[in-house]
Amino acid sequence: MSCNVDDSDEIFDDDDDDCSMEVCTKDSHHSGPSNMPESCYVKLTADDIVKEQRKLIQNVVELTKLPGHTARQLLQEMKWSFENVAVLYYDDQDKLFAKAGISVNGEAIDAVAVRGSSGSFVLDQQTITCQVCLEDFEREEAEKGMSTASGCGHVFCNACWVRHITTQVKEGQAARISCAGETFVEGKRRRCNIILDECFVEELLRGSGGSAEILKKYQTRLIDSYVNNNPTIKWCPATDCTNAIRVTDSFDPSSFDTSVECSDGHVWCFNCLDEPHAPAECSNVKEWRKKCQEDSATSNWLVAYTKDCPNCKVAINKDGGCNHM
Amino acid sequence: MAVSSRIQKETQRMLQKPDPGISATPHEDNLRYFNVIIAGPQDSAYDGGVYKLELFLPEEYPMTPPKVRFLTKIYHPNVDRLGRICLDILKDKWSPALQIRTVLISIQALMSAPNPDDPLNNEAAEHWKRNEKEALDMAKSWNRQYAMN
Ligand SMILES: [Zn+2]
Ligand SMILES: [Zn+2]
Ligand SMILES: [Zn+2]
Ligand SMILES: [Zn+2]
Ligand SMILES: [Zn+2]
Repeated sequence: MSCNVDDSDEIFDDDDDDCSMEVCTKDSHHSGPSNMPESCYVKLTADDIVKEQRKLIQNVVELTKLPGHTARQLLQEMKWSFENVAVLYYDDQDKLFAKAGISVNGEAIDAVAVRGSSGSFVLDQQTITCQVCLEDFEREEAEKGMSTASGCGHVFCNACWVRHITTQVKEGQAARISCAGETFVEGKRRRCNIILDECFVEELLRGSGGSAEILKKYQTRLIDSYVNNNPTIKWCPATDCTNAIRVTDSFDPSSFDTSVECSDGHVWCFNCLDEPHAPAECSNVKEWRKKCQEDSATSNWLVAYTKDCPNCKVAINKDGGCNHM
Repeated sequence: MAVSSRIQKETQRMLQKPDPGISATPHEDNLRYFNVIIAGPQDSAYDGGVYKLELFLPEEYPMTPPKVRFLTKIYHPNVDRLGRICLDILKDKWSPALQIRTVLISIQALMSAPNPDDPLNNEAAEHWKRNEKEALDMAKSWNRQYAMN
C-alpha cells in the first residue's frame, strides 16, 4: 500500500477545517488534487485527535460526574459514542460499569486494600504480600512501593505492576489492560476484570522503572484505540504520517471520487486507503494490484489506466492504448 | 538455570502442602519444567485413573501463563489429541496472581465438568452434545485403557 505525496503546483487552502453544510457533488473534481469537497471530511492531526477525545471525555464527565479516566473507559467500551454511553448509563448503569471494567465482576481474591472513610482504598494490614512476586512488604514500605488498582482493591508491588503492564503493552494492549489480580466468578478463578485507568498506568510507567519507550507505545495505542473504534476516522496510510481524516455525514462512500488529502498533502482513497483512483472503483484497483503482482511490467495503475486532465492534472480515465505507451 | 524466588516459593509450597489428588515435581536439571500427576476426580468418568501432565514455565512467567498438556491419553471435549487443554486461564483470562497450583486445580475441575460448548476436540464435543451418557462411557473406557496401569 502506498500513498503518493502530491507535489503538484496545487496547494490546498486549509485555513478552515470546519465542516460546512455544503453537499458533495460528483463533478466537483476541479477543486484540488483530492476531488472530494472538503465539506465531506475533516483533516485531523494527532493533536486534534487528542483534543476530540478530551472533549468527548469531558462530555461524559459532565453527564455522569465520574472522574475523567472512568469516563474514558465508558467511551472506550461504547466505541467512543457519547450517545451510546448516555443511553446505557440511564438504562443499566451496573451493566455498563462491569462491561467497562470499572466495577468488579464476582469477588476479588486477595484484594487486601479496604475502602476507607473517604471511599478510596487504604491499606489496613501490617504486612502485605505481593501476590505476584510473593514478597512481603511492611506497611511503611508498602505505602511507597505498592499500588492499589481502583475498583477492586488489588494491591501489588510497583515492580510487578510495571512488569505486568509492560507485558500487556508488548502484546498490543493499551485501552484494556486489566488488573493483575484474580477474581472468583461462577465458581471459577480468573483474571480480575478491572481495567487499569490511564493515570494509574502512566504514573507507574513514569516512576517505577517503566521504560519511556513502553510509555510512548501505550500513549500511541490509546489514540489508536480511539481511531480504530471509529468507523468515520482513518489514519493517513502514508509511512510515518500521524494525520488522520474524519469523514462527515455528507461523505458518500459510493460517490465518484472518495479521495481525501491529509494535512501534510498525502492524497488517498478513504475507502480502500490506496492511491486516488477515480473514476475507477476500489475493487478495480484491488484487482489491478493483484494483477501487478503477477505481471510486473506495469507498476502504476494511474499510468496504465488514466491520463491527467489537461486543465487540473487530476487523473481521468484513458480511452484506450496499451500499458506501455 | 536460575529461577525467580516466586517459582522457588511456589515449588516449595506445593511440595510441603500438596493439594488433594495433585502432585507437581520439578525436573532436577530444569526447575521450570514439572512432572504433574492428577488423580481422576471421584465424581467423574476419570475416577480411578492417574493422569500424567507436563507443565512448563516460560521465561516471562508469571506475566504469561504456564504451558500445560496431558501426556496420558484422555477422552475429553476440552483436550485435543496432542493433550493440549482449552482452558481460559491458560490463555486470555490468565492473571499473574494465579499460580501453578491454581492452574492444576482448575484442570482437575475441568475433568469433573467438561465444557462441550468451548471445545478443542470437536469430535468429542459433538459426542457429548449428541449423547452424553455414551460419551462418558467412552471416556471411562479410555480411562481404564490408558490411565489405570
Ligand atoms: Zn511484587
Ligand atoms: Zn483487581
Ligand atoms: Zn498523511
Ligand atoms: Zn478506493
Ligand atoms: Zn479536470
